[in-house]
Amino acid sequence: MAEIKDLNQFKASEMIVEEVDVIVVGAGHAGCEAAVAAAKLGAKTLLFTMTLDSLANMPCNPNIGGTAKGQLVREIDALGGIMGLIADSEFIQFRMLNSSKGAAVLSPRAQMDRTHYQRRMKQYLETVPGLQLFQAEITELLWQASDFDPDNPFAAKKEIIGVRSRAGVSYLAPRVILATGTFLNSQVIIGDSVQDSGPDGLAPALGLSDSLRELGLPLKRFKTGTPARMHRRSLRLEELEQQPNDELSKPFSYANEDRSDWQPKAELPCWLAWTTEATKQLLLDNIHRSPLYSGVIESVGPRYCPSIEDKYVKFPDHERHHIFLEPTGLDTAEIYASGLSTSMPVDVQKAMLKTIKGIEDAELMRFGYAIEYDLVDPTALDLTLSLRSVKGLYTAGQINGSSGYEEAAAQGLIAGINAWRSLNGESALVIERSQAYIGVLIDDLVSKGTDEPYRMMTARAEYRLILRQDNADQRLTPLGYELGLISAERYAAFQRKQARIEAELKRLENYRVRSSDPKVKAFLESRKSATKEGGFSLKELLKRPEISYSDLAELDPERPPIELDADQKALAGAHVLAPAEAFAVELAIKYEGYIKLEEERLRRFAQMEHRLIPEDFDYLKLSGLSAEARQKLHERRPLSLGQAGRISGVSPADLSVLLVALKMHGKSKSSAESEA
Amino acid sequence: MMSEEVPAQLEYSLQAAADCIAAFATPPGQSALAVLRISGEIAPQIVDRLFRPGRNFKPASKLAGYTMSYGYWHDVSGQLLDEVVIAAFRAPNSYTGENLIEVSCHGGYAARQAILDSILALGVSPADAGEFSRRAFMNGKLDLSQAEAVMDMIAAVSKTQGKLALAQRRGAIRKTIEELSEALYRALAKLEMVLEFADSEGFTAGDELDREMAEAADKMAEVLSGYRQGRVIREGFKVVIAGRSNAGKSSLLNALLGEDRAIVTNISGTTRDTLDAFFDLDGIPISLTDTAGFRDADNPVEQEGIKRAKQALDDADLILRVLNPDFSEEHLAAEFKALDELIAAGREVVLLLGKDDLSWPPELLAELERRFPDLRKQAYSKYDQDLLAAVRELIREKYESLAPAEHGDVLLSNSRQKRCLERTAELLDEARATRAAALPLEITASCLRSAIDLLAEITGENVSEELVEQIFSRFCVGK
Repeated sequence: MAEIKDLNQFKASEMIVEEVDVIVVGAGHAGCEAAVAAAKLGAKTLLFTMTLDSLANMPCNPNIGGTAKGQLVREIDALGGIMGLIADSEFIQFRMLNSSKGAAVLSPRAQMDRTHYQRRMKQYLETVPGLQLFQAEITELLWQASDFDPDNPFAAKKEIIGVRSRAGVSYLAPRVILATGTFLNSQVIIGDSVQDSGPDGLAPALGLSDSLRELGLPLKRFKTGTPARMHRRSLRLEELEQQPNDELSKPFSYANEDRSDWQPKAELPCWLAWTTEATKQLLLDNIHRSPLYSGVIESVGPRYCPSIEDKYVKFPDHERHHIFLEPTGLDTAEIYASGLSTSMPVDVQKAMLKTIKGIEDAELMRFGYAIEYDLVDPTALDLTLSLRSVKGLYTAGQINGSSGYEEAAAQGLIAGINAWRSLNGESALVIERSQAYIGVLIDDLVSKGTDEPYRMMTARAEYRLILRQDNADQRLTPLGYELGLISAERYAAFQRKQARIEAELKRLENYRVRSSDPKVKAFLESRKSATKEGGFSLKELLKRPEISYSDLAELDPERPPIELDADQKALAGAHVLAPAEAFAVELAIKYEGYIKLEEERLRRFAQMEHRLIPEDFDYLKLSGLSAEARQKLHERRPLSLGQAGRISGVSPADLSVLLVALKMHGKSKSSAESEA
Repeated sequence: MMSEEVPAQLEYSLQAAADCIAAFATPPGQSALAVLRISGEIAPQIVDRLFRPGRNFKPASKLAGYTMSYGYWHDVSGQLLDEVVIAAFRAPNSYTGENLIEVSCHGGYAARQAILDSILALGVSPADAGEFSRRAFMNGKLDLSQAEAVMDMIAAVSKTQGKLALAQRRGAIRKTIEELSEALYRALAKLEMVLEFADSEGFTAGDELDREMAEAADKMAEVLSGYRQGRVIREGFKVVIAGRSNAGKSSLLNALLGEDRAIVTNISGTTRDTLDAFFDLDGIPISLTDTAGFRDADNPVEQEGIKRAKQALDDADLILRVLNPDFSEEHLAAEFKALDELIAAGREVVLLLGKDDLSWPPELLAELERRFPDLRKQAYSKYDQDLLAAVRELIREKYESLAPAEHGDVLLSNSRQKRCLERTAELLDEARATRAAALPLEITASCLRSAIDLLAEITGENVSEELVEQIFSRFCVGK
């Protein structure tokens, strides 16, 4: 039994090795961020992993970033997390995705040297004061009944006090963060073969699910998958289209941005292959052997990262799908086949590769597989990632139903910060949807819940023009500094950067050219741009789609030079601008009108977000709500009217009833107070 | 087991009584009958204490929903107040969604007040403005756009107005807006596919996207053009009587209204001070505005009046310019100037030539004909019923040229909805312009999202505080 009735007696009778502030279970991308954040803020932190040799693993594609995920990494970095910094040291291919689609959907993506990323992370964790890394399998949670809170009848009735390992050793802490990834009761499935295993042949975490069930938490089961790995020497890469590194690699971390002393580890190419009609035929002929369709897998897989057999079933019109062949490290010949995720039996997997030009004779090193795992239904959480029914217990990462390293890291960071802040009596950190993808991610999981592994996409963000990868620092670094995760030095550099951007914007607004000037005339004519009487400010010209910031240099002799290491040079007194700053200036002017439109929409949104619902509000008495909405609101206890509106089953009619009821609640409260 | 007797002792708490509300649903003033409503869980028990059913009729608490009973109303001391009919509605099948009793009594002021007092004496609360509707809303019987339409229906002064409000209550707006919104969502979904997936996967935003947006824009324009018609129905066909002072405007107004006593409402104390009267011209709602004539443009009071008159003229659907042959050369020149201006501004103007006391010199009439050959002229006299009928016919003719014969297409009827839709249309134009200018797709998507958001505000799908506030503050007591 993991419920502790008498803590003193328990302490006297148990083998207790450590008493700390925060325990983190699992050292994947969520666990590492959580532990580092908590420790940096001042918590005595204990980070458990089943094996120290596999922390921060990337058992699927060893890449970080991508559409919307790249934004997440930039945000993690801007808020004071570590993923961007570690990735910057270990990346071997860089591409900025979506450059044709606009500045807001621009997303950095980098291929990692996988094992070196893991080692780099471990090395980093070992240097953080107050953070203790420890190898042990946690199998039980320890909790006790909470004291009744007279101010909030809906407060948690249980509270966490620690964890116990398989070896029977107890570790006590008032805050526990579970970041178990895909390890909970995990099973690996290839065709008909099902075995208890974690990803990459690692041991599954058994036992902890039972403890979660005992606590009364709702569990779900998801499935995800990964493609085969092949030996490079068996592939005819020279026959395939190469996808080279971008001309210019860019770091994820703002700390490395525009610095001449930052260099990518390598800039390798990837290759593009295509499945064929024969692939389609083979997979459809064998679809009855796919565990997804034969019934072996009953859990829900991701719609946005489907297996190849799934793609053919769901998009029957597509004859061919693209496959990216990607290196997984500098010191390994293993090649990852992105887009070829499958859980087909091994003979079908082999036959499938034969249908794809360039990899017909692939020498397999690991088979593709599907993995099933337990998770906690994220609707049991509040927006701080704390479970509503168990005080002090947090979950982050794939245990919350997300997919992806970046989504996991973002949650880890927020859980780590909140675990420490709540222990320290500080206000909760809730990032809003209009503030960052991190806010969208957590709110989506917690308010809406998910029926499949949740992948971040830019379409999930309502304010996409505002939530860009280039301005994550503007959005979050002041907050990171206030929280204590961004150093004073980095914050000062950030402020200087903003000041340079502001100054340049002002200069462009004030600098005028005359229409009668022959240079201006020629410039406008060459770009088929209209002229007008009098003259223009440079800002006015830059607003025009046909004129870029670099074009304008012709008319702008006073422009500061655009150089790397601009901050250091500026400190030495030079009038310079960094490339990222020039980009920010151009974007701010070109997008100004559209961003204003988005801000107008945001203001209306914010009204509902900032209309908070009192903790003790009793939904059960509100008969105007539909039965479903009443029950869900009662259970979920949303923070604000905005959040309430996003809970599935709460209709606009329910929401307006709630709005009117809150107004009346506020009125009767204030009149009761004034009477008293 | 059906007992026809009133239970001797009723058991309910004071709180339960206070949770009931009562008010008259019919407007104050003398009338043959009046209807009072009492709503709340124990409304039937409250009524039982005051209502004695006639022979073979049932007490309120024994009435099934949608049935009536006849009997006598007493106050708590047992004194007879009136002979009444009550109708019972049972939760949740009532307007408020609660138990509700309607009491039809006689309409004299004192008698009515005595009945209401007898109910309030039992601890029932007097209803606040809009409280019946708010309860209906809180109990899920009305959504916001329906609530808004209820408000419009109460204020409706003519048959066509009532019809429009009823259509709205039944959700006609909602359906159209939802269709528009679905079209925009389809366009947005296409955009998002392109934005989300790599170029090599072959999703492109092409003609289909542009077509989808163009169709939505056309539909919006159509709904917006129906607004003027909807506004005419809701706010009345705006006829402004203009002319210099002493031109006989007021007498014309009175003469026109004299025949149409059916529905006349005086609106005062609003900001629309120049608005004088509503009347129903055989089912056409007319709002008739008499603008004051002005002499002294330097007088600040008159300046304010001139400003309002100008506003009324700007809003007018039809301007009746009144002219009598009792002026000097100077006045005549001013009159010509005023007419020139109205015609130049493209306004619907009819010149009414008064002939109450003086007759028109033929040369002056010729002069008018020469100067304004295309202007419609109509003689009138407050003494001549035929001429007055001709003026009314003229108003009707102008109305019919503007308002649709069939009101099925008219959806928007208040300015809040219109403002929202206009802004939505602007944003959609913006989105289409970004396509024309080949701007990045993410910008097109952002404009579309803003448009979709606003569209949802029209029906209350997008819930906002102002909207709720605005709607409930418009309700009057008893509804």
